[in-house]
Amino acid sequence: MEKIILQFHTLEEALLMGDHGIYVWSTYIITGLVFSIFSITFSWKLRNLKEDE
Amino acid sequence: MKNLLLPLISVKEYLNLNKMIYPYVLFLGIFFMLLGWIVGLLFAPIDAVQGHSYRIIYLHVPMAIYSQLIYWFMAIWSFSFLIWKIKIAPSMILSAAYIGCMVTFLALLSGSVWGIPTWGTWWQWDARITSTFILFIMYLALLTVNNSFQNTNTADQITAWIALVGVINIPIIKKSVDWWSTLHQPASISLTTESSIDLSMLIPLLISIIGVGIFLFSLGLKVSRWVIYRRESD
Repeated sequence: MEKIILQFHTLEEALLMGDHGIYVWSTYIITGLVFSIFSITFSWKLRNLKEDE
Repeated sequence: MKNLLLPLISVKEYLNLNKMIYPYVLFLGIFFMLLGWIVGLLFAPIDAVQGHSYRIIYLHVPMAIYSQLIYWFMAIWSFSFLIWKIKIAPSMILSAAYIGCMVTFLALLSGSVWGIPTWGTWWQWDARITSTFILFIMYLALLTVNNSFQNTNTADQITAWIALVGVINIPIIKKSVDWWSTLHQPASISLTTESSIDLSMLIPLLISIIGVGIFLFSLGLKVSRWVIYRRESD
């Protein structure tokens, strides 16, 4: 088993990840946005239903 | 035993339990999901072949697993509805369809982005990707059909049948990389055989799978609450 240690020494290195940072980070950011929008939408729908009642 | 099963049968009991556990499940889900992703993104070692692009695995694999597991969940509820007419079942099927649709979309999206640096293409009509795309269409069709009927009983019956028939696609997705020659690699982790990835990469992956699962469960609690209230108000 290889060691689980911090792989990047600077923030720039972590963001760039060689040439792959754009693919990796964009995927996680879009997923975070989708989760947030999905959760907020259903919270809003729930609140609206309760207000109607 | 009866007390344990009551929330699965009684809508009122289910809603009480749902409201009680929701904040704890949400907190646990976010905690483990972020822990898995942070360790995977920043601490797991680089892959010798794929470089850093493999780090999408900590998002893609959990999404792919749950896109199929949620369909099984839906199929079991459909079966229970068609056989035993369990009252809460249609709400569970519909809630799972909303979550499953989003998760399958994210599995396809993360796979496509991963494909660009790895395969040189974001899409290929190979067996695994096509069968997952069909799964996404199944979720969409289920939601569309359920919302297009005025009569709730008819909508519930047809939705349950679609969910049951569509379950045939799940083993096809699972076995597609073994049955056909595909661009998609075979499974890296398995319950029955030794995993093909190093433990240092596997640990954050398992944490991500658990975290995403708990988080999706919390979303399911919220969505099912809305579905039940909406059906009651109709």
